[in-house]
Amino acid sequence: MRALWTGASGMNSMQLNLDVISNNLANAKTTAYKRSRADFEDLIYQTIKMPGTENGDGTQMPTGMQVGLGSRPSAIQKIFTQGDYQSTGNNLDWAIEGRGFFKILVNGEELYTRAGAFKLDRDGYIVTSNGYKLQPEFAVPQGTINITIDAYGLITASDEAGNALAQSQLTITDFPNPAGLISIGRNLYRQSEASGDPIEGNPGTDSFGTIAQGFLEQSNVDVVQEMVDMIVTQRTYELNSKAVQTADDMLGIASNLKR
Amino acid sequence: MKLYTGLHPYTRLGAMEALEGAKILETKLDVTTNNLANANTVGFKTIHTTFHEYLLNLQDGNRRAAKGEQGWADFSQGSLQKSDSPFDCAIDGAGFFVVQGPNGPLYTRAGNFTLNDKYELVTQEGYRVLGDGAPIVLEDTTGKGTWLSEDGHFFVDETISSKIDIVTFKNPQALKRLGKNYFQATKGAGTPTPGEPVVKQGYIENSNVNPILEMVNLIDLNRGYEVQQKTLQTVDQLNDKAANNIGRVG
Repeated sequence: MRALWTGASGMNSMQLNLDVISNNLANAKTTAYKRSRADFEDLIYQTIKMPGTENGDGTQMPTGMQVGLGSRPSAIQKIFTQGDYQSTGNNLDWAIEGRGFFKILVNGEELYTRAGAFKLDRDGYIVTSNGYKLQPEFAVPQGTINITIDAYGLITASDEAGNALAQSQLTITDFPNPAGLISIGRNLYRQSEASGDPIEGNPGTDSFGTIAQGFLEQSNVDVVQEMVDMIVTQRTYELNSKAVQTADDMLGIASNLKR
Repeated sequence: MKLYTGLHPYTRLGAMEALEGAKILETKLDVTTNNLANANTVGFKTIHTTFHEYLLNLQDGNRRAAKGEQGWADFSQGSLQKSDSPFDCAIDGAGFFVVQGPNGPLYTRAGNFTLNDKYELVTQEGYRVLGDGAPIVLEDTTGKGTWLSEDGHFFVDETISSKIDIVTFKNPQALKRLGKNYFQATKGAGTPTPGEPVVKQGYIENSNVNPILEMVNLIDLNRGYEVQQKTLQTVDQLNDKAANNIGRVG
């Protein structure tokens, strides 16, 4: 009886679906988190009768008989739609409006993030909440009172009198296929074969987004959507368990044939 | 007087019929379970099982009806679910997307596409989705986004690009299922002809599995199987009587 394993494959798929949904919900308030979606596909089919087989009297069977063996996850993909903006009023909270990622240097490796909640470290460098330096590196000089960044990425550090002490041009990075990036946690992404090579440019040029100072990008998780998905997942899990139970009952009946 | 050696074939007929019935029900259970396992699979189409009878010749020239099963794919529209991803496409109506498989074209209703590193529209397996017979390249250089009109034309940078290929078959029932949401053309299905359906961007098509129907099927199956078992047991009891009681003197 294939049904036992077929049903189990359905239950497995739904378990994974719940894991993905739970992670989305857990990150509903994570800055710039992009929600994931699990996609499923059917497993291979056992062909009992090929469609189009000829009958004894020469006619062609219009349909065949193929028994499928269940489902499995085909992909968990990140949906890179824009999250909402939250106004924070903080000089170092930057949101990218449109495509692109901030480049961060972590242990000598270039990683990417959309979470623009930056801070200053003790040497004046602009760093992420985890202390990783924003690329290209920029340290504000001593005596800086105000830091501004315009929509096109020009960072200006100015003193009390409003005189510019130092300036730097921020570049952001885009990928042909952001959904192919590897998520490594801490809001960071790593490039992969599937994402394609990084393309660097100034904010606001070509297809790059612009920078909004004093804003943070919220996650793009739609809590209501996730709740509905959770209900569907639980019910599908339940239905599959019933199929497994039925298969078991039928096996029991078969084994009762011999008294 | 003609004497039979061994049991008359008819005495085993009841047992055979019950066995056939039970085996068919097992297949139906497998198909039902597969439908349920794919209740959340993008673009999955339900398979129904129907039974049919055919005549078999018996040794003594008589014929009896035997039972067989047949699959029947339900190609009705699945519900469309909003997904927001710009590369998700759903067909509203008949037809299939055409995908460049490793050994020739494949057909699918699962429009959960994505881009690869060359800006080509691909399936989750990385097979290229075809538009005007060639891979669809969606390189957005101005940040204005990628749009798909309902008649299947892609717009990139506000200029019209290729039209996504959608084909229909004369007899989609005869399409062969390969798993991974793909169908393959067969002789019985006929040649693919370009269709003119409505395509929706940012939606995916849910499976058209009806859980209520499948649950009723499960109950029905369970009981049907029980009936076949009782038939087998009854036939066995009758044979037992014939072998051990009839003809015993005293």
